[in-house]
Amino acid sequence: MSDARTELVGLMTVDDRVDDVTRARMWSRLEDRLADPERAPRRRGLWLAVAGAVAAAAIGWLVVHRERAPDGDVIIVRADSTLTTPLGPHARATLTGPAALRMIGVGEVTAVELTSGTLVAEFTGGPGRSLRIEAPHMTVEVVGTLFAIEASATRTCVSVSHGRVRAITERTVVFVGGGEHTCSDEVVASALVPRMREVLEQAATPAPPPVPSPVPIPMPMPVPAVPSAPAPAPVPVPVHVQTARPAVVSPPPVAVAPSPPPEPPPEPPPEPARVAPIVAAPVDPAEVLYRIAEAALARRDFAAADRALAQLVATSPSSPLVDEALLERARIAYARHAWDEARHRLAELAAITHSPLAESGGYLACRIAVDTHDGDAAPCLIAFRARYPRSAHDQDALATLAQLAADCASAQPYTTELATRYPRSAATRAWQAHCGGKP
Amino acid sequence: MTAWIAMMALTPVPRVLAPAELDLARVARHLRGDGDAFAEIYRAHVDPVWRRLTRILGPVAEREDLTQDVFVTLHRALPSFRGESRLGTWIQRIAINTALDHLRAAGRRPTSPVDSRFFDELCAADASPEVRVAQREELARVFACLVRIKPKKRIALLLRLVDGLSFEAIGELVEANPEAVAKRVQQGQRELDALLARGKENP
Repeated sequence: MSDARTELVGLMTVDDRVDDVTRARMWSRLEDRLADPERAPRRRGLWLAVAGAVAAAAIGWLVVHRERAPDGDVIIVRADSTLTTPLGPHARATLTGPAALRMIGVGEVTAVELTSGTLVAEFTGGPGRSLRIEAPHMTVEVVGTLFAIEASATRTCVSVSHGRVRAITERTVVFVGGGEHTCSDEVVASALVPRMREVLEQAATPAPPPVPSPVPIPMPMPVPAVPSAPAPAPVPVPVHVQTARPAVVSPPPVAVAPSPPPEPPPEPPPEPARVAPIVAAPVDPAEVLYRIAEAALARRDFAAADRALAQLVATSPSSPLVDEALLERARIAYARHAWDEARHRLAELAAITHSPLAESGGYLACRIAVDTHDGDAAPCLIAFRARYPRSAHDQDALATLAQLAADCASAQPYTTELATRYPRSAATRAWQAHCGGKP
Repeated sequence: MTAWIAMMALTPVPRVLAPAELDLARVARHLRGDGDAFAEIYRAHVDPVWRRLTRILGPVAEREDLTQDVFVTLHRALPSFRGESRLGTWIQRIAINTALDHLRAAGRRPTSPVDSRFFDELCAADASPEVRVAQREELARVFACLVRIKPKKRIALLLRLVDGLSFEAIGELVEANPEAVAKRVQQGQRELDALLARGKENP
């Protein structure tokens, strides 16, 4: 029995450390719950959810009938209203008004034009499928990820929580990875701004429960060129598209406007622009594997995700997704405290010149040094701050450097900078409390 | 160094080491309406809450929701916190009660299974595929036996078995006297052994 007890202790402690991402995600959702003190307990919430689902189904029925209308229909949603609608056969979306959405093409390759408003969509990825959202000054192609678009008449920005999108502007094509953003007047991706990070964290949908048994994911390699090839089991990939204003959480009455709309939206959509015909792009094997990995990550099957990403790196070494795959593999290894493996992946990532993910990889390397009590942790963080002075990780790096110091006096250079640069942060207040009001 | 890191409440280290005075100051600030104080309490105590829930429930997906439930309960209850025990102990009690409610409810509905990757992590890395499959099955069997033990006994048993707590310490957390705790641990142990033995006889 002692073996069984040892196994039991092992099982009950194997994942008893919460990682940074989970901690932040839980806080984000907790904040929402605390901000709404009248919110019903979970069981009452279940009934509300059921009622909501029935209402959504009714709305969906209405919209399904609209969706069968010819392409080019414009869906108008009035201010403070929401509408649930399918976006082709593989995506389902909720529009929050004021919003205007035009269906350009529906099928394996679905394209929509979002003139204004907020769109929250769930996209079922698979070979030969894609979702394209055209916003002012930018077209975003969904690879399977959680992201936000902020659009205005002069500028559109896209921010990515995790995964990767392809942002196409008049000047260039930018791959935007997790924790990054770019705008229509920029040519490279840079670190995500904290405000958008918060918006994206709030938009993140809860992860589905894990699968009961480790069924290997079929790897469609090599991927047949025809779109009708057998697809892997479709897995919903959450997609969040946001324009102009933050998401409205209220469930007010729904407005579905027939053509022509009975009431014009605040910003009427412009004359439909001429849009290039939708042609199914050749299937990129690396992209397929990346989607498989994304789907596995979404259902928390990290082993399957790691396998798919490893295959991506092995079979498509020149793919632009390789650096993303290496970073994801490093994160997976980090989460299970496989430090050497995580370091190895990061070394591979560092060997890729001009990777936009070098910053994320560099910070993860420092975190590993901190977590393993490596003597190089402080030099690593100092070097990171020197290399990326405007990094989104800077505050955390500074606070960690202060923690690594032996006492208040040694920590002072960092705590002073912390207080100067981030005066309202929790870390600053904690140091002030600890060191007698003077950081 | 450990105390420094724990005080800062920013990295994943045991927060139970955080000074009680700091917690009291945070509670006082929260009750005065300081909007950031509760965030600090969360950061200081989320790791122990997660660890407690994991060590009672196992690596199941519901832990995220339940961790939030613990802090929602704490938020509602903080005005009644009188500082008679450490805030950390108080939060641990809330976590244990939340886990207890969950286990009781779980008896009436199906629960999510343990993520298979955790079984994989516990298997010997250099073992053959056949041995790894056998190890995985054994782990699943042991966990299935644990699930069949009544919630109160299960919690007492795990606090003793996994955390190595004394009967007095367990009694403080589950609000029971040490004798009652000892009885629950003994019964839980006996039931677990019987279930494991039965499973071996009838695999």
